[in-house]
This record gives sequence, structure tokens and C-alpha cells, in this order.
Amino acid sequence: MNWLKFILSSLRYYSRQHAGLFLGTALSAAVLVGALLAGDSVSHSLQRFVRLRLGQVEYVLEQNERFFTADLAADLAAALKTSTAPVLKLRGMVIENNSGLRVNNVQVLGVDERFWRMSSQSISLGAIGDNQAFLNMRLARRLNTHTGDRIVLLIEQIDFMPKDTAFSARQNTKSFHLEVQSPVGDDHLGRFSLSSNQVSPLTVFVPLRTLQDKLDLAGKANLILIAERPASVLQLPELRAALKSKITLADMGLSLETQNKQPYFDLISERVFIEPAIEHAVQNLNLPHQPILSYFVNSIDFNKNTTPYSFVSAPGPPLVPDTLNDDEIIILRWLARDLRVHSGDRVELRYFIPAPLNTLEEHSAAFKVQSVIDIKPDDSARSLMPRFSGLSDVENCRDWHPGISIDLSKIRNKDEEYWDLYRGTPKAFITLNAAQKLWQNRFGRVTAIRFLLKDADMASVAKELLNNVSPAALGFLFRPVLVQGLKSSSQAVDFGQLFLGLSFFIIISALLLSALFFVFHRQSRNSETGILKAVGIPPQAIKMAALAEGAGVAFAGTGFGLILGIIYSYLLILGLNTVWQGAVGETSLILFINPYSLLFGFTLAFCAALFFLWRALKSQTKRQISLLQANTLQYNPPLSGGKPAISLFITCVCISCAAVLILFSVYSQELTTPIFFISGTLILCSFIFLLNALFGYVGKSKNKGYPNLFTVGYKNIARRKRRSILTITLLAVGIFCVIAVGVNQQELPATPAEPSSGTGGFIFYAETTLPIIDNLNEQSVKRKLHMEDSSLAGASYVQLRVRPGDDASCLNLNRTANPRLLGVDPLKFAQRNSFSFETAIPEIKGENPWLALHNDLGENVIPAVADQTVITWGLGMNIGDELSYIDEKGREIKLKLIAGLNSSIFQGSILISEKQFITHFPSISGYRIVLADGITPGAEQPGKIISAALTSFGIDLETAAGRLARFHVVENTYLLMFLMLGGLGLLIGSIGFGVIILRNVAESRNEYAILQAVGFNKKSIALLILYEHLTLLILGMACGTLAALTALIPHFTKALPNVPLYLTAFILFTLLASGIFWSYLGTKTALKGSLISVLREE
Amino acid sequence: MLLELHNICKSYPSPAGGAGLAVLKKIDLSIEQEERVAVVGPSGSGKSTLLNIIGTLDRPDGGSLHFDGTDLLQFTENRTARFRNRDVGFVFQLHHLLPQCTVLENVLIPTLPEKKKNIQRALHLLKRVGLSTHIHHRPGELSGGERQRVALVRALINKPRLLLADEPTGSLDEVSSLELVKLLTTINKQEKTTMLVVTHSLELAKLMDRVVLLKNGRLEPFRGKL
Repeated sequence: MNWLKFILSSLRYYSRQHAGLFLGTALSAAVLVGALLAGDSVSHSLQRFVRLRLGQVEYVLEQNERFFTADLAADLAAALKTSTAPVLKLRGMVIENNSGLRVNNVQVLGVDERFWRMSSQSISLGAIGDNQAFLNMRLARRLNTHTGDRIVLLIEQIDFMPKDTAFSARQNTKSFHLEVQSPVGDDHLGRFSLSSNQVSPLTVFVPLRTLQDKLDLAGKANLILIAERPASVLQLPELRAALKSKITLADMGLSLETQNKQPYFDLISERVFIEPAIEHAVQNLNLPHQPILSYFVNSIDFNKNTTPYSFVSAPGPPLVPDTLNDDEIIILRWLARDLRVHSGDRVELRYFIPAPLNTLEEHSAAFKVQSVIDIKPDDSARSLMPRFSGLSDVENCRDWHPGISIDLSKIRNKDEEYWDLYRGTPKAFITLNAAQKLWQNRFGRVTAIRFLLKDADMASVAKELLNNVSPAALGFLFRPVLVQGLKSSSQAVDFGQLFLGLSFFIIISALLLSALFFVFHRQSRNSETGILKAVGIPPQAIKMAALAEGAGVAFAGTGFGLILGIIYSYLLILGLNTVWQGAVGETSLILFINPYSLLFGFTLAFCAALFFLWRALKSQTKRQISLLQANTLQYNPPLSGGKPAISLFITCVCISCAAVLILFSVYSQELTTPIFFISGTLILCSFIFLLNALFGYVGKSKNKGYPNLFTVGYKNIARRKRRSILTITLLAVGIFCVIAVGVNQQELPATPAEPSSGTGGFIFYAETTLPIIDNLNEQSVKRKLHMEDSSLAGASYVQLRVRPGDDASCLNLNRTANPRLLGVDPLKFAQRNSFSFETAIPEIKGENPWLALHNDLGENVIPAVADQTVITWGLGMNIGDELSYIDEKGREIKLKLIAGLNSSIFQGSILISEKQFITHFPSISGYRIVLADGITPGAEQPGKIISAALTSFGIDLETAAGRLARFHVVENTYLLMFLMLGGLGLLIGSIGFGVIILRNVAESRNEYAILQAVGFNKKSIALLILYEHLTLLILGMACGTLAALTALIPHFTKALPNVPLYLTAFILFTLLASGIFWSYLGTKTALKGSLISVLREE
Repeated sequence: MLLELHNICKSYPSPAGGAGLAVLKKIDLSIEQEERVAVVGPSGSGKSTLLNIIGTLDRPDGGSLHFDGTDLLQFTENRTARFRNRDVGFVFQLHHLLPQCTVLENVLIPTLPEKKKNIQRALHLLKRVGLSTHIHHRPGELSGGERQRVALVRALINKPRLLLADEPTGSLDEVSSLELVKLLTTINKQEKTTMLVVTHSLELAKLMDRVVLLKNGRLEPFRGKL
């Protein structure tokens, strides 16, 4: 005989009695392992999504507002010895022909064969015709399209010139009629996106050549995908070196042009203005050159004479000698005649300067005519005119259609004649210094650079220029999208921890249940413990043997729990994909079984079970041997009342503190949830201690008069004080936590039109696919867009710029490092007192945080604000921390988070001042977010009018309150999950209640027998049992519910309390029904058979 | 002197508070080696309490307890357990056999702390009590008398110097009681153990060397007729 044999014999013999322990440990292990596997599944799914959306792509070379040659991709492929693919990546809208269904904010990708080979499957999807397109699965589902259906794709007409310049072409969209092919699955880059998000974008894939041709972007691309290189790891320095060696002037939008046998050639840009980085590089070449700035003026005036719409240039010598002063001007004879002006006269130039929201401000400048000259109407003169779209490419003046508004009626016949002869030859010339003072802008200071060299030198100049220009300074930046994506997904919301927290009650309930079964089983073997002690087995050895036996059962149970855990995790993932989809967005997660999590979960669950068993055993072996041998089942705790006075004192303290907190909250009119939650907790504690005191007094009291069944029942409850208090506490705490936390749902502001609320007082929030250049507050714009309806009479609009980035809101599970940026005029919000701030850095204390967005924080440090929840959870940061971005000039800029907003409609984005936005991202034109206020809340008509007016921009309009509600859905979904899982934990706890009842009645059978022997009938005894246990149940539920209601007072004071009453009532009802069932079962068990025979056994 | 009790007192607290119920009042008792003593007395007089104290199953409120010159009340818990394992054998009124173990395994339970198991001795003792054919049976398959015989063998397996029996025939019928009494005395003589028996059985008391009466918490020689 040895310990192992003894333990195995006991396990075999008591296998049925160990069922409860087995199932309890299995359940706790299942929930624990299931939670871990669910977390792994989410994490694995996110990592999988990274691979699905990127395929074999490791890096990208991306330009948002600039286009380079598609051939650069092939050149880089050769240099890097890896695959590349050029892409035209644009935004557009899609309309399904049959249904008219429209989808905005669609990702349009112009791709060729090389793109498809980037997928993880590395196969081609087959040839696709010029007028055909693939949709990805999400877009196909949204439009409900099938192969052969037709769609209309709308994309903004591309202009190389940034839209915010005065002379860029007016906004136009191009439409494509395309035939849809079979949808592109996720495995074939259907999910392709450069944003870290678990939700697939809406994408249409069009042949690259088709897109290039239709948009007049022949041979152009704005994105290059670079695949992983199997032979060796690609590093950024190598990529940059390859780009430097392969990039051409054409990629930069530059060209060197000769001027018909002239002894010079010009460097010009398709963006018209030459970027400062280029200008600086030219200066570094130390070659003879002349910067040129030419501009289009509205008029040149002298007295009452005016010459409309002319070009004025600063070309330098020979046209503009060094002796010309900054306030002097040289004019053509044609102009002199037209204005009847002579040398020495002062002429005035009138010209537009772009202001925010594409408003144009007319300025003027006066110059003294220094001389009048004649020039030949040759190409060299005409070349001074910048290639403004809509101006330089037309035959007649009256066909002009530049970005600015011009009055064609002012154009005279002589102007047409001038145009026919001279084209855009400038009519006047000033110094470069004077011109730059008037017309330089964020896009550049010059419109051309003239190299005073022979044509033969052009190639070497080009080469030298390329050597001197940093591609990064022009925004040619490589992004390690694969590493970023994997990092982003690896730092995502930890669903494992989340589910562990949400399933906490289930795990604890199951473990407590296991321990309860184990304790009761050990109690039934009291005599065994006694005899082992009596024969001299050391207590520690007895304990270890019992523990080993329990451990054996727990081991088997935990092992079984692994299988159940896999099923549980499958159900959790199913829940996330269906009823809880609010927490994860429109995505499909898959189950992933991580063997390490299985092992870890098993170990943790087993150790937790062992701990509970060890704790349960602690009190067992301490009891005296004689008591252990006396009677195995009789439970005769001493009728000691403990110290009721102390319990009463604690009760009073708890109630007092709760009362103080509630009164303070009411007095200060700040009904905050945390205060009432603490009050509820104190109320709960006071109930428990009060009951403890009451039971203690009952235990000590001497009966006066004859006892009845109820006093007997009550005494029974008090006699088993510890067990009774434990039962009540478990029920009460469980109900309190589940209800008080689970119903703590975020709700919409009571007054959404309130400026300080999360809506900022705005009624509508809209995002557009295409940027809106115009100021929607301008009457002329409203007229043009048909937004003059009476329902919009008082409407005003705030427009924000958008730099695309990752969504940092709670709707994105991934941790983002590159959130979307919004540029806002802070004054607009400050004046309206829009939104409110939860936190702010000490340095801006007393300041309006909106206005603090203009503060100077030093070079390349920009003040920024964001929702506090985004800062804390989306970014994992604190206020005062800095986010790193690379601007369009390739400089690293730091966005310092100076304040955190209360939950707002901007969740997911970072806000900076529009001024800083324009400075660092000048190419991003127009506004893509529109906020509207001054509209009657709830009115539908205004929204419809705005939507109709801005349809061509691809507007998605929603109420600001509705947008806010969408963010709350995530948090509320988590709370709902907590409510459901917590409720399940409570129900498991009710099984424990049932076990206690069965135990109590088993221990008391001889008492019931005595009662029957002295004349009580079975019905009376049944009433006694029911009374005793239902009292425990009702006390537990009452304590928990009342305490929870205290915690929920702030919710009930709201006009629209968002409390899931039905679910809460369902949980309470089920708990009550479960308790009644167990009480009934216990009663039946107690009265089963002949009670008199129990006495006989005694 | 193998066992010496001096001024042993034991009382139990009253549920209603106040003074406790004194069960043993300054008990003095000395037992020689190989002496056989019976303790008799009315029901509830504290006989089992006295036996439990001697067997270190319970602790007195006062007094001293010496076994072979060693103060048992100074032992640590583990030392006490070792004492019970090696020097004491218990036979209780209820056999307290472990239902999950066979007869042989039950008998060998006291040998668990030892690495060497004296299976031969167990088989020999079981043969002597007439249970050699039942060694693989479980307690549920034995009669009351057979179970008590197994309990007796279990008590003797480690060759204890002191055998304590608390109403060993209390739950047996007359025939089984007589059988057990015969076995008890025969084996005890052969094993040369000192024996202290609490009993209501006059047949058993008659077979002892000395009979003492525990009455009103005090111990005195039995002067009645057996």
C-alpha cells in the first residue's frame, strides 16, 4: 500500500462524487481557455488581414497629390531585384446601373498584371478589358452586383496643379461606364488597403491603362508596391538609394525645355509653381540660372484706362535689367498704347490672392513705368507664361476657363488679337523680388528656372539636379507597410484580456462551485480524515493526499475543459461576427487555436483550481480528530454570534458615507456615475454587515415564547451564519456588478444641439469623397449648389481639411500610429464654444484649447487635440505626448497632444490648425468634412437638400448625434457582452446556491426526522425548508438589486435612460427561477423516503 | 510505568455561555507495561474523552500526560502523529474502515508513512483473525464483526506498545462481540501490548487486569460486581 495506490483507489471509488469538481474545473478551464483562444483568434485574424490586404507587399512608395511615371516601378524592380507594381490610387464614387445604388468613398485602383501577382496566391486574375472592372467582395455585396452588371465610376478630373491655387482647373468629375467581372476575393488582394483596419475598404479595380487614358494621366502612377525580397531583407537605405538612382525629372513633374535656339533652357513644373526644395537644389548647383515668376493679373490700370487679364512676369535679364527697382515696371509698347501711358507714369496691377475656403482676395500694387519695350512674339516670350490649365491650352481668350472666375465680357477684340499674336506673352515685367513679395505662396516662389546654358548641357544639368534633389523633400517616401501593419495588429485591443475580464464572474463562479463540491465531498469523508489522523498519518500528508486526489480530478476536468474551451471560443468568435459585431465592425474573424494558449490556459486553470482546493482544505484538517470521527455529515457550528456590534458599526459607517456622497452629488448637481457606483458599493457592504449583525444577534438571543416554523427557519439561517452570509454575499455582489456595470451604457447627449456636447452643437456631419474647394457659407456658392432652401436659411458650415490616415477610433481594433489628420480653423469652434475638453496640459491652463492650436511650440512641433478615448485607448498615449508624422517636404513633424476632447464626433482623428495643415501638407486641397449647424434638429429636409447639393462630391451625410451614437455602439457592445457573460456567471452561481441547499438539507435530515417524529407533517417541514432557502435567495437578490439601483440613479434622471431593462429583468427573473427550482429540489430531496429511518440510523 | 496521567482536566464550553461543562476533573491514572485496564462508567461520563486524551486525539485543559517518561503534551503535531503511528493502536466502536480500500489495504493504512511495508505481518494477523480469505474484499462486503476484526488488525499492524479500544464491541451483536473479545485478549497477550479499553461489556471488563470507574468526572477503582 502506498500513497499513489491510496489516491487512485479513492479516485475510482469516489468518481461519482467527484463529478461536481470535475465539471466545475472543466467549466472554469473552458471559459479561461476560451477567452484566451478568442483573443488569439482576434489577434490572428488581424494579422491575417494584414497579409490579406498587403499580399507580398512590404514597402510602398506613395504620393498623395503628385503623380510620377509608372516606369519608375520597373526601374526600381530592376535595381532592387524584387517585384514591384505601379498603381493609380484614387478616390471615387460608384453607381450601380440597375438599382441606382450609390456608394461613396470608394477606393479606385488602376492596376496591371504586376499588382495581381503581389497577392499571396501570386496568380493572375486573367485579362480584363478596357471597360471592365473588378469589385472587391465588400463593394460587390454593398452594390449587390453580379458578373456582367454595369456600374458608373465617378472620379475627380486630375489637375497637376494643387486645387487650392487660384488657377487650378475647376472641379470636374470624369465618369466611366464599366462592366463588372467576378468579385475579387480576399486572397487575391480584394482587401488591399494601406490603412491598418480590420474592415475591408470598398474597392474597384480598373485596368491601369484605362484609368490613365481617361484621366489624361498617360504613363502616370501615384503608388508603387514593392514586394518582399526572398533573397535578402529590404532596408530603407537601399530603397532610398535605388530611388535616387532611378528617379527622373518626369517623376518629379519637372521638365527641361529648350526655347528654339535660344542660349538657355527652362526648368518648368507641371504643378506650375516650382517647389522650394527644387529651387534650393538648383541654387546648390552653382550653375548660371535665373528664377522666373509669372502671374496672371486681373487688370493693369492707368487712370481710367484698363487692360484686362494679362500676364506679368519677373524674368530677370535681359528683359528686366538689374537696374530696375522693385517699385518699377517695364511694359510692352502694346500695353503703353492701350493704357496711353508713358515712362514715369504709375500703373496699378490688380490680382487675386487665394484665401482659405477658395475665396479670392483682390489685391493691387502700383509701379512706376521705367521703360516701354518691344519684343518679338516668339516662343521665348510666350514661354514666360506658366501653363495654367484653362488658360494656356486654348485658342481664344474667350475660351479661357481658369480656376478663377473671369468676366469674359471684358475681353476686347484687341485682346484677342494680342492673344493670336503673342499668346500669353507677359505685357509687363517687374523685379523678381517685387514679384515674390506679391505672389509667392506655399506651393513655390517661382514658375520657372532658366538655365543660361546651351542645349547640349541639358542632360548633365538634369543629372546634376537629380543628384542634388532629395526625393524625400518632394514627398517621395517609402513606407514599411508590412512591418507597420503587423505592429499595429500586434498592439491591437487584447480580446483575450477583455474576455477574461468579461468572463471573470463565470470563472470565479465555476471555481467556487468546484471548491464547494470538493469541500462537501471532503466533509463527507470526515471519518476517513479522522482515522488517518488517529493512526498517526501526519496532517500534512493527509492534506497532500486529499489535494492530490482533488488535483487528479481537477487535472482531468481541466483537460476536458480544453475541449470545451475550444467550443466556447468558437461561440465567442461567432458572437463577435454576429450579435456583437458592434464591437469589431463589418469584418469576419476566424477561430485560431494557439497551442501555447492551450498550454498556458490549462496551467492557469489547473493552478487556480488547485489554489481553491488548497484553501478549501485548509480548514478541514485543522478540526479535531474526535469531531471528525463523531459524525460525518452533521454540521454543528457553535451558536456563537460573533461580534454583532462591530458589524452594526461598520453598517452605520457605510450608510453614512454613501449618504454623504449622494447628498454631495445632488447638491453640486453633478450626478456622476462613479460617485453613485461607490455609493452603491457602500450600500451593498452595509446590507451585508447588517445581516451579519442580525444573524449574530439571533444566534445569541434567548427565545421568548414558543418557537414556530419561521423562527426555526430563521434560526437555522443564523446558525449557519458563515454559509448564509457567503451565499447572500455571492448573490448580491454578482447581481450588483453585473447590473451596475453592464447597464452603464453610453448614451447620446440629452441635448445634442448643445455646443458643449460631443456633437459640438452641429446638426449634421458629412464627409465627401472629393474635396470641396468652395466656401459653403458664400451666397454665390449656395446659389450655385442650390442650397438656398428656406430650411437652410440659418445654416452655417464649418469645413475641415482631411489628410487620410488610419482610423484611431474604437471602431478600429488595430493600434494606429498614423491617425487621420484634420485641419480646422480653431476660431470657428472657439467662437461657438463647440465641444468640451476632458484634459489639457498644464501649460495651456486658462486658455481655450482650440485657440491654443495656434501656439508656437517650436520648430516642427505642432499643437494637436483628439478625443481623450483615442489618446488613451487608440494611441496608448497621454496628453503631452507627441505623434510623429512626415510632412510633404519629407520633414519629421511632431504633433503634441495638448488637450483631450470629451467623446466627440471627431473620434478617430487628430485635429490641428488649418494653418499648420496647409504649411505641412500644402498639396492636400479643399475640404472633405462639413459640419452644419443653425438647422432645426430633427428636420429631414435640410439634410436631403445638402446631400442632393453635394452629391457630385460623393457626400455621406449623417446627423452628428447619429455619428456619436456609432462610437458608443462599441463601448455599449462591450458592456452588453459583460452583462450577458456576467449573467451566465450568476446562473452558474445559482447552481452553487443549489448545491448549498442540497447540502443543508442533507445535513439537517435528522432534524427534519425529529420534527416529523414530534408531529410536524411533511408539508410543514417543506415550508420550513423553502422559507429558509428562499429567504437567502431573496435577501441576496434584494441586496444586490437595491445597491445596483443606487449606482444607477444618474441614469434614471436622464430624459431617455438607456438601460437594457428587458435583459436585466430577464437575468433577475432567471436567477429567481433558478433559486426557486433549487429550493424546490432541495425540499423534495430532504423529504424523500422515510425520515423516521434516519432516526433509526442515528 | 508506561502511562501516567496526573490531574487531567477537560471541560466543554456551554452553548449558552457561562461556566463550561467539566467532563474530567483531575484524573490520575497510571498503567504498567503489558497491563490491561478497563474503564467503565455511566453513559456521558467522559470515558471516550479520557481515551481520546490518552491517545492524543484530544488535548486536556490541564494536567500532565506521560508515556514511558515522555511528556506527550509537549509534542509537536508531527511528533504526536509519529507517536500515534508507532506506539498506539486504536480500535473504535465504529470500525472507520476506508470503503475505497480492500481489507489488506485498510490494514496497511498505518504503514503509509513508512517506506517498508510489512505485508507479511498483515497477512499473518489477518490469518489469526480468520480473514485470510477476505484480503481483497472491500468493507462493504464484510459483516460487522469482520470489519471490526479488520480494525483490530489495523490497530496492531505497527506493533504498538499501547492498544486503546473505545467500545470495540459497541456496534456488534452478541456473537460477534464474544468473538472479538476473545480475539482481543488472545492477540493482546501474544503481542504483549498494554491495553486500555473503554467498555460497557462485562465480559470484556472481566478479562482485564484492572477495572476503573469513571463517574462524575473522577476516576476510582471499580468495586462493583462484574
